[in-house]
Amino acid sequence: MSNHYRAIDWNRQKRRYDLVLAAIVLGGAAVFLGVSAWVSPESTAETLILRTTSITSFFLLHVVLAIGPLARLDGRFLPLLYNRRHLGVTLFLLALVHGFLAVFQFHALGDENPLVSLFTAYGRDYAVLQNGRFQIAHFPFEPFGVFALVCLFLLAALSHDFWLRQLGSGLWKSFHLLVYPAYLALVAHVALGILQTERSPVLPLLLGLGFVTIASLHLLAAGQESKRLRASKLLASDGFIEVGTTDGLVEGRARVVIVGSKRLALVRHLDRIYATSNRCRHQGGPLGEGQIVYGCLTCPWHGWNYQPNDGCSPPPFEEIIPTYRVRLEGTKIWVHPVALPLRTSTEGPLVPGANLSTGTTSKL
Amino acid sequence: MHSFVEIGLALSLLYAAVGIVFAVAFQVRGLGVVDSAARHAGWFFCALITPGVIALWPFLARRWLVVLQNSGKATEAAVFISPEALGRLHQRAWWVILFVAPIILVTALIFRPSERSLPELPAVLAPAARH
Repeated sequence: MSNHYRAIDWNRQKRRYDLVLAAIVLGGAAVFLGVSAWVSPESTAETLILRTTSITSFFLLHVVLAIGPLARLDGRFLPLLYNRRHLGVTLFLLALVHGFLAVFQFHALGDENPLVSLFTAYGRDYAVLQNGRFQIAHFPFEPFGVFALVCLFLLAALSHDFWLRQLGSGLWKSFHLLVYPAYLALVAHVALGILQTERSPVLPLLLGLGFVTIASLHLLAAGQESKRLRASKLLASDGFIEVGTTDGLVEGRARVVIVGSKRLALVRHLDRIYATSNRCRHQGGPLGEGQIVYGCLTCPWHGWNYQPNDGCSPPPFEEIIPTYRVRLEGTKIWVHPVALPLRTSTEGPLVPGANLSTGTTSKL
Repeated sequence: MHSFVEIGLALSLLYAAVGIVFAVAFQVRGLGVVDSAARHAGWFFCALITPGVIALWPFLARRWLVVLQNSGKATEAAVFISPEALGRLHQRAWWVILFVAPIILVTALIFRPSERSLPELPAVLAPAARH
């Protein structure tokens, strides 16, 4: 956690993540290049690189889209989520190489500005309606690629924490929803482009499989979320909601709970139970998947800290998250959905059977 | 169509040119003002954020102006959308993809030309474009 920006906050996990990413991208690209050159020996080097960059970047886009729901469904995929921006930037760079090469190979060295030709070549030479028939192969597919590239550029250019702070997490995440129009545009780019001339069943099958995979993952994750929302119960009299029991709430570990329509982090620290907002002020990371480090609830994504009793970051940091009232009835945990005023210090209820004489020195 | 594309391209290049000039000024004078955490950031950080500065220069220019009017105190970014509204937007985006992506794929496969009538590419694209 730092109050000064660095270009990249390198740590061991990030280095490992990037090494694995580089190995997969370079290795996969090399294999594809080799196989393509063997299957189509007459293809030029530019064509092979065009195909390799397109297939690698499209594969990476599917991985990027799959990581979110995978991490919701199974916590073991969370490490993939932590540095997803590195995947996104790599994806954009590969797409940029593909775009440059395509413009150079198909639109440059002519008598027209290549960037203008990119949008007008098809309209100039083909008719979508020919002899009264709809010719889908004459539909300009390249503008879809340009649109997708612009979306991916914005995602990559705005991925640094500096932008998160300037735009605010709401606007920043809204920009990142551009990954969905980018995906649709790329499906159109491929479907109206190479699929019109390529007769092998492999490409349509891969496209279909990719779509089915990410759609299924998203539907499963949405179903799980709905189930959790329905499971949260309400105490009618004073508004507290039962969120579970102290069984399984391990000392020093947090848990995500649903309270009304909110996701909160429930944490056990020195045998007392505290409830805070689940959203880290940094990038909205899930505090409920974090743990207590040096007396602070620590976000699993980038290590930002918050004191569980009042939601404040330890000095000199100034970030604050809301905290919530917690009540214990036996082992049952109840949380009130209305947040306390910021900086309100509370002493969480003691877990039944906890020994007050041990571990009561506060590290807060 | 041709002139629309040329006008659009010219406007985009103008926007980018203004963005580049703004980026230089912003990196030299405005960066540390708008965000104190960027005050002693290195050149690599400045290089990393430059494409975004060029793309969003109107937004940053406004923020810089607001900070200057606020006696140099940087303010928190305004809340653009609540997490709940963002979640609903995310859901709607997915419902659109769920229906539109298969329609595009199936339509493209059903209506693609038979092998015999594959479209002839115009001279400027052939023969290099024969994959």
